[in-house]
Amino acid sequence: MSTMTMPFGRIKVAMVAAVVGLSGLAGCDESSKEPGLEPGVATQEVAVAEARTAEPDARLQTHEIVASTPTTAGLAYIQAVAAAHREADAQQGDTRMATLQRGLDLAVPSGLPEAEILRLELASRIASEWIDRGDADKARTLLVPMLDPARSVPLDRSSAEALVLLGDAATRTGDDALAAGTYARSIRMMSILRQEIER
Amino acid sequence: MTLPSLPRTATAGMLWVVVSMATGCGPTAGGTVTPGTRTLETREGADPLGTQEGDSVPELEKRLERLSGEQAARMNDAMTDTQACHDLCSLSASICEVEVKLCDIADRHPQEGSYQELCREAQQECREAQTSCEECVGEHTGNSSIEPPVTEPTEPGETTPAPGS
Repeated sequence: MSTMTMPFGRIKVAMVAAVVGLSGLAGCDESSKEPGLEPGVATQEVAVAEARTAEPDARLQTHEIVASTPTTAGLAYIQAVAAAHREADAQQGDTRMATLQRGLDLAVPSGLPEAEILRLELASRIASEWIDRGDADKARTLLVPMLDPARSVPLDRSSAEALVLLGDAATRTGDDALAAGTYARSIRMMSILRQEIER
Repeated sequence: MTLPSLPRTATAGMLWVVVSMATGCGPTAGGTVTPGTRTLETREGADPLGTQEGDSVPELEKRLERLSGEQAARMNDAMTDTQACHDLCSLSASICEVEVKLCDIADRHPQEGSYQELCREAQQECREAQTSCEECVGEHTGNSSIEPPVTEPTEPGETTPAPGS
């Protein structure tokens, strides 16, 4: 089910960043400092440029969420998340974001695998708001750890939606490698879901 | 003279006896039969298919209950099929939308094989999903609530703006 693509791009970026970082340290020498160039700027530009030419990482590992027997704590969590969505529906702007963030920050009770999907839905909603506000970087920061290609994601439409949003955020921040890899992962996820319906 | 008021089934029963006697039909020739509950007979004048279920109120009630159950089951099956088609077509539309976005990015990297490969794979997935949706809709022709997606896969090298952008 999973598709493996070696993450050479990221290793390359890290290596380049390290090399450039060392060069930056060497550049601390006053005699070699170019006028008008702030320390660290060159490093950032090279790293960003390298990221843009990195290979897309389209690895996808999935796992199915098996419905659990609801415990009292689990039910309370689900109700709290539902309440956060309801409240957010009636709110706008920062208040809405704060409500959604509170929902995302709720402690997940043990033995509730469905919480992974609920958290992805909340994160997607927050990310979507960030993107709409023109702050795709924040959306990306939120979603990248949850959807890391190295970790398994729930086989669910909410994961596919979150991946599309991450792709959108990456596109807006100029990271074509992340965008392409993430879009490809979302398509693979949706294809698996499609094949499951066809069975 | 006023006839005493009889229940409908009693009246029907009396009429049945009169008609049976007049036509010479035996008691098994009439009544309602349920198809599929009797073996097929091809000879001329064969009895209706099915078993005699009777016309008494309890029998009719029992039959109504059974037929209602069957109707509910069939409606449920049809709704499940419709929902499956809806899900397939919805996924197909989403896959093809994302495919457009992905191939749009790949167009910016014409020399990079990995991007082109992902684009080709996405186009293939889009085509398969569209076929799947169309076949499902085809099997349920007449259901106007299901429509195949309109998004078309892009050709290699073709630039298509992302939906909503």
